[in-house]
Amino acid sequence: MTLRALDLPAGSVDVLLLKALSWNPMHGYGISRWLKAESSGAFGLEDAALYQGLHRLERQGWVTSEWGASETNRRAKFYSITPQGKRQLREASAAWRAYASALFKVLDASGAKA
Amino acid sequence: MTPPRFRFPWRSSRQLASEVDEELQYHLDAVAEELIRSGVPPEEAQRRAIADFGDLEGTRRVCLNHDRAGERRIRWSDRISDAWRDLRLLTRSLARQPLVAATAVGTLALGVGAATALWTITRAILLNPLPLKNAHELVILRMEDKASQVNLYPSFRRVDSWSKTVRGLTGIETIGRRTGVLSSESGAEVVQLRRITERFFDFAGAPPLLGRGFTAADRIQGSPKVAMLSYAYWNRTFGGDHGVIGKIVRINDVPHEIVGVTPPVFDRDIGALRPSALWEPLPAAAAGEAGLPIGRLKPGITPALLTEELQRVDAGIVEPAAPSGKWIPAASSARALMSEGSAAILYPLLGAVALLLTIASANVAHILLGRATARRAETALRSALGASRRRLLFSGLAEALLVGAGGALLGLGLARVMLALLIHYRPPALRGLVAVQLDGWAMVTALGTGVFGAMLGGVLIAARSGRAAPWALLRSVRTSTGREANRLRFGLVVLETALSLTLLFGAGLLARTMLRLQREDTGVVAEEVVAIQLHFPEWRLPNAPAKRDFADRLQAQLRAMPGVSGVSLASGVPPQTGIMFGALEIEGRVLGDGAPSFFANSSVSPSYFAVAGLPLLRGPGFGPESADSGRSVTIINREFARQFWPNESPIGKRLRIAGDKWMEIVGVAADVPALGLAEPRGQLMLYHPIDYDRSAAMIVVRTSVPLATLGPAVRAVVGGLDREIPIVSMATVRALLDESVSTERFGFILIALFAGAAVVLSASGLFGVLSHAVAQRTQEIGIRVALGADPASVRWLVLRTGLVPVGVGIAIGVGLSWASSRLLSSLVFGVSPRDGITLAAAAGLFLSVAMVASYLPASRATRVPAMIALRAE
Repeated sequence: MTLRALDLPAGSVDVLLLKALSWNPMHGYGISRWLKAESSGAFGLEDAALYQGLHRLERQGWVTSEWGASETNRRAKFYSITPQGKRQLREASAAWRAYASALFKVLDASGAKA
Repeated sequence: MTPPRFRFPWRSSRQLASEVDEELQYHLDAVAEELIRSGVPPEEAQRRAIADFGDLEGTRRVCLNHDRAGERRIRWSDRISDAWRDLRLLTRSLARQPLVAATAVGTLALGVGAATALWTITRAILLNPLPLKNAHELVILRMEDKASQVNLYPSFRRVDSWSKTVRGLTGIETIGRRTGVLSSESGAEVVQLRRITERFFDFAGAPPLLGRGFTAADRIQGSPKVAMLSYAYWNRTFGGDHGVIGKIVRINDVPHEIVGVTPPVFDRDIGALRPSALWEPLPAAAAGEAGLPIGRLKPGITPALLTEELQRVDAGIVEPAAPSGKWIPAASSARALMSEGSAAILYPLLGAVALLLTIASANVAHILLGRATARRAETALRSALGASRRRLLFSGLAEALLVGAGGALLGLGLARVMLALLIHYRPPALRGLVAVQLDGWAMVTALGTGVFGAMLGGVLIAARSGRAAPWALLRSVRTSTGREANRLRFGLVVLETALSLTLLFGAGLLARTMLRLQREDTGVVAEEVVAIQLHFPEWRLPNAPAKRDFADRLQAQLRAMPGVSGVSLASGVPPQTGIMFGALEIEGRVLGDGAPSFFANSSVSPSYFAVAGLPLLRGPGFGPESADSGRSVTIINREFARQFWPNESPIGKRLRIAGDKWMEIVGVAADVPALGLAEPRGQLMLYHPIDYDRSAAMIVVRTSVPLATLGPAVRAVVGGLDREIPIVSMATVRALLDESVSTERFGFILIALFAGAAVVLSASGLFGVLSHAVAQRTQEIGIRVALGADPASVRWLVLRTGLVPVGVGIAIGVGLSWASSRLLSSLVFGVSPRDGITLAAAAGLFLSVAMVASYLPASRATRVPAMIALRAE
């Protein structure tokens, strides 16, 4: 089953991008590959949405960007997470976890009691 | 505080776009490469990379939008944090020089305060429309005699015929007037009453503040008497009590019920009609009386058009009791008429304040320039380190802004005080000035003038810093920029000198006017003659014998008072004598159309001339029997005799006015300022023997006792005779004369204060500039001294430096004074508004102040020891 990016719940793109950047600065292509690898292809996040998301996050001050040299020695734009971004990631992941566990609780329920 | 950020400089929109393109291109290339590596042909790989990406164009647009918005925010936050940093730096550096900062702010506040206070008044009195419905349509109608420039109220009958025939008006309402006595427990008081119809408040579009207006029934004879209180009288006497409706006031001993309070807008002059305490219904049968007609223009009709129509219509009207003379109707806009007197004083004052503000502004510019010069090395360093021109410009302007804001704030406080003082000492011409307060516009004015005032300095500095070459500034102190700064400073001295001279000249003209008035020959012994104005109410003294009896008994008692050397009766004394109209006829002569028709007159008892100290130059004067023989004798004034009997005695000649009885001339009296000091000289005057058939009389007392002592005693005497007889006023002729020019004196005092402040500011500006120049030229002076220059030549060197700009300033100031003299012409008389002597005196005065201000730095220069000067570098 492949989920299309549009099917991702609202706000989840932001948290995925922030998570991707939480260890190292990365360029957009790197993030795209990382996401595909991590989710075993489950999140087919469209690259268009990925880049739009990155620029939106930068505008919000959660990530900053800098031009640097890529692995292939080409000029590439590297994104890194800001302190505000980290805070946002913490809060958003907690919220998503609570959401997911509540969702699972409901899905795992064993039939309604009479 | 956030730590300093290091980042790329601001990016342009195009730059942002190319960065987005590059970023996306990198992504597409990387994807394509991956595909190629997995065996896809290159062209196919590129196509698929693009296809897999999704909406490429849309993403480009969205990313660019985000980037632009982010960039904008960064720019603003950069700017704000820069500005904030600069402001804090400036505040700190200003605080290190508290005296300099205080001088700059204080100087500016002086100008701002004066400007704000006066502008507030001007706006309130001259510029605010009357709070009446379509106030621009309102016109005041009058009868005018072109020759004497005198206006009269038309009779009600005449107005009535106008209102039937004139088509340029939608309506006419006439305000009548009457003097009445208001009696209460605390005594009797003479008040003015305005008399109006039931239509008046609707017509004016200003409903009664409280209660009701009048009804048609109120005007019918025999109906219950009602009255309205004016807003001012209601506040003064009843403390603004809303329960006043229904109370009873006794006017002329007749109870009147208070039915309403008029709105405050009517507590001002309406044409020549002074504000009144009470209003009453105009009796329906008042057709023969005269009143002030107010008309409402039809759309498209101007006062000038209406005047034309009135004159056409009026030509056919013949009135039985009309005063002779060439009286023609005229209409003028009510708004203009109601502020006529105020404009004459307010516009010159506003002009003066503008000059003062500019001078204050120039002085602040001096101070700011001084500080900028001191900061030159810092500026140069910043500029060399790459501070943008914009940033440096901002530093210069920010300081000016800071001083401007400080000046505005302090000035606003000062304006409050000045406004209170102006209102307290307001002359009669500014009578309407009661409830004026600083409002939002005053704050805008203060801020505007403050910032404007400080900006002169800011702009000069900014203009200079723009041109400054950093290397030149860093290399040496004496550079072209140093000289350029001096040029600017001397330019400011020229400006200040020119404006100060203009103010000084104005003050000088007014001072000469006041001096002239003070020395004016008043004819009577003004300081010792006290005029006690009495009102004789009909119900207490119903006829002439009763009045005469009262007057005789009062005079006898006053004569017996200590310090009183004489008592007499008159209908009026200078400057409040009566006036009469009508063509003059002299027996046995043909005067023709040029015959004068406007005279001052006064009815006096025979002893008046002796008591008032007014010399009777010829003739026997009035005898005790003169009064009983009616008006068959008269005394003329010297001017009258000079004009009509230059080479012979007028005694025994006969004249008459307006075809009335012939009067034999029995005396020639010295001239007096009959109608006030501000009126033109050469007024013709007639004295008549007093008759007692009038409702008012003046007791004239000659005394050496000050009025403060005499006053209560006189009140006791009058009250002892009859406490229902009100004393309207009591004053020495000197005080009355002074009051007749109080508007001019008010203008003089203010402009003199402004001129004084201007001279002090200019002198201190000059002093500062010269001190600076001497400090700069220390080395040069030292060399001169070392080479044997004597102190006098060194002093002259410095003096000359100061006198050149002062000289240029005076030359410009003379032209400016000449050009602006017309503004003052309404306040200046007896002196030409372009009086050369005054101008020379003002220039001389300023020059000597400038010399004093230059002398100190000059003498300091002579004490420069040669060695120190040489080492100074």
